[in-house]
Amino acid sequence: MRRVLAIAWKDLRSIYRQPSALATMLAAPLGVALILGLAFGGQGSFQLQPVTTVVADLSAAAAGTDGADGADGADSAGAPDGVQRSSAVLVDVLTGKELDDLIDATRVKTAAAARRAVDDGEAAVAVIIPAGFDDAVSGTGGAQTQVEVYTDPTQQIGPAVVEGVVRQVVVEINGARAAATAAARLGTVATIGTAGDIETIKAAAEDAARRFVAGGGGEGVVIEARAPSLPGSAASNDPGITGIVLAGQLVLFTFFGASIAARTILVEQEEGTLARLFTTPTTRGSVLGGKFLLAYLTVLVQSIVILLVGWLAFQIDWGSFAPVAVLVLTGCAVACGLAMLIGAFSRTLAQEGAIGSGIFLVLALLGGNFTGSFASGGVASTVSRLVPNGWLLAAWDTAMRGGTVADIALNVLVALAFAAVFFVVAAVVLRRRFA
Amino acid sequence: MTAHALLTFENVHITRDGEPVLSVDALEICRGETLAVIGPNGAGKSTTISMLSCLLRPSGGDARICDHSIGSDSQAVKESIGVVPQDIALYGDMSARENLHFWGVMYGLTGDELARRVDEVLELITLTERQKDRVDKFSGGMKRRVNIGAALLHKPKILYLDEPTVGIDPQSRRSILDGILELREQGMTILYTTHYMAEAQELSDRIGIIDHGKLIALGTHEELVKLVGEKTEVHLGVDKHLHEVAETWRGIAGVGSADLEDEGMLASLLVDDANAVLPAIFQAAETAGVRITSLNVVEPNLETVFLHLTGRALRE
Repeated sequence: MRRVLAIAWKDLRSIYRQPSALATMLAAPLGVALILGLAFGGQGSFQLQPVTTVVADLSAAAAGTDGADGADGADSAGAPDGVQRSSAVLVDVLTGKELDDLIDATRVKTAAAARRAVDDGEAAVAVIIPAGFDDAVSGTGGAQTQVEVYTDPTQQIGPAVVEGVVRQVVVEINGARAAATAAARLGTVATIGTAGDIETIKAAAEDAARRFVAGGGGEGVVIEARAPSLPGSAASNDPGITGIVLAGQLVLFTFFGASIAARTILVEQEEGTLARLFTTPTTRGSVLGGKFLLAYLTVLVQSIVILLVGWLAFQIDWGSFAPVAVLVLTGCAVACGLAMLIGAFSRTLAQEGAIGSGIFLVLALLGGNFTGSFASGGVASTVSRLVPNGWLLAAWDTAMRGGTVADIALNVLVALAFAAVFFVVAAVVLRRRFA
Repeated sequence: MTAHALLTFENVHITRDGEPVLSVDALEICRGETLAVIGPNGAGKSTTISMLSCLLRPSGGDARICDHSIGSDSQAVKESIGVVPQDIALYGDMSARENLHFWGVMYGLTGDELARRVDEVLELITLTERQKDRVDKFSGGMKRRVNIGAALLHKPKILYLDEPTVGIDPQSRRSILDGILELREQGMTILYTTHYMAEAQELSDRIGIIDHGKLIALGTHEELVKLVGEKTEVHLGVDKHLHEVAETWRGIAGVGSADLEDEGMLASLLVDDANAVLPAIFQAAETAGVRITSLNVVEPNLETVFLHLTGRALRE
């Protein structure tokens, strides 16, 4: 055992003295996380800045209820029994508190002012509600109108958010309008009374539609969006984009870290020290054991450093100690087994570098280290389960959302099975090679 | 196997891709003996060392070191041997002391004994003052010394030195040779491969000549010379024509031939023993009134022996 430790310690010290190794193992994953973290708000989570939006309600202006520049108008003016106009409903949605974190909307008086705000870069989106919007919506005569969403062409995500919100409100309005039109048509066709009766039915239908829109549409079929999680997962914490990215980089770059350690076998082979080691009473098992221990210690130190930096610098909540510890130990085993396997089948350092990098990147793409596909569902998620890093990443996601050891047990067992297969094959190949 | 034999070959042969690369029927190295194996590049010297270091398994036969088989008891063999590889096999980013400490651990040394042996070896290789310097900052000669020192830490019963003076300056070479002579005086058993004849002649008790994987001759320097029947050359320059005195020289016992050159002003004689025949040669010249103006005696050496045995010079 003393020999095993001596071999591992010698190389460990050597690796952590090499600037290039430190750059690969620590600087690269942290750098990627830092860049992405800054790109997405720098707060360690995926937080869009509220989209600056201007809203011009020309329909309200025509009705003399303009509430632009913060002036609250009588939004129900012109509508029966104090029911809110449809344009006011749309304006309220865009300017309301519920979407404060997504949309920062202000009202302007004219369409030109709205477009100018976008052209001048003061707003990302302008929503222009045309004059006659309310009449067109509330009438059952089939008149058409359209809401204009005027966007800054250099931006994509923000305008898409606003457009989505507008589209949702318009869909509700159109739905109510369709129902009202149907009711009115029914009354006309059925000829259930006098012309006055028909007008009364129309008015009642339009009123019902207005109230439907103003009341928020009620609750029919709803869609609940949620992130996938393992059975039993508490799934309560949001790991944030930086946490997800850094977990992906952690898993990927431990492969590279282990590879740096495993390739010391090839380095020693090329420099003649491996043959010399084999002339000493040190057994081949001890030499290989020392190399595996080296790889394990290398990525263990690497993982701990990345986790600490992620926690301290990016405020990433990795989860409870127990699942994090289990995942770190498991991830190290997978990385070491894989690196030893690649080292066992490589004859030269150049070969190992090329093969290793290629395999790691393919695994990263399949497992979702860059894309998060392990949690996206569908084919990509299924594919991610073909590789060990996919299982590890899903487990990290669960741990960061508050999962326990029990929640990640299956993932850990599968990942360890991968590691065991890698290591056994590597050990057999290496023992044959150096026999 | 004789009582004093530390290493014995028993019909060992190694084949590679069906072709024989080493074949030694019988060879013994006794305790305290230094055996030099000479031969050109590719002759099988390093293959021999690799096999005796348990890095190569013989295709047939066996070799025994301290009565342990290299095939079936390699672990015990490795505890008895110290191997100095031909190329520097050290960790350049570690100091001389760290290197020796590491190799000491690999040989099973621990604690105080390890520290003491590291100190002793550093002194032996005269690098105590530079012990904390990284090996990759050393000169070639200093690296060679550390390379040798790493094999001495566990006091091996036999030391293999595979061309330890290749590619170093004369001063470092002399230092290494002196170190090996010191080990020899201490009673270390040494197997030394080289293609430098002078080194083999200076360091060894016996010399083995290897070519094309076969040990073609073995013995002391004198035995090898006698084995091939080489004679000593005596070159003489005179002040008068030698035709008459040459006939007299040819009649002296121990003189094989006497050939004249440069119109009889130079003579080349082949003799069995220069010391024995030179007085008679001088006497004959004086009697004939001929004055000897120059004398050059060329003893047969390993180069001529090798040339005789293989039909080519060693450097080829």
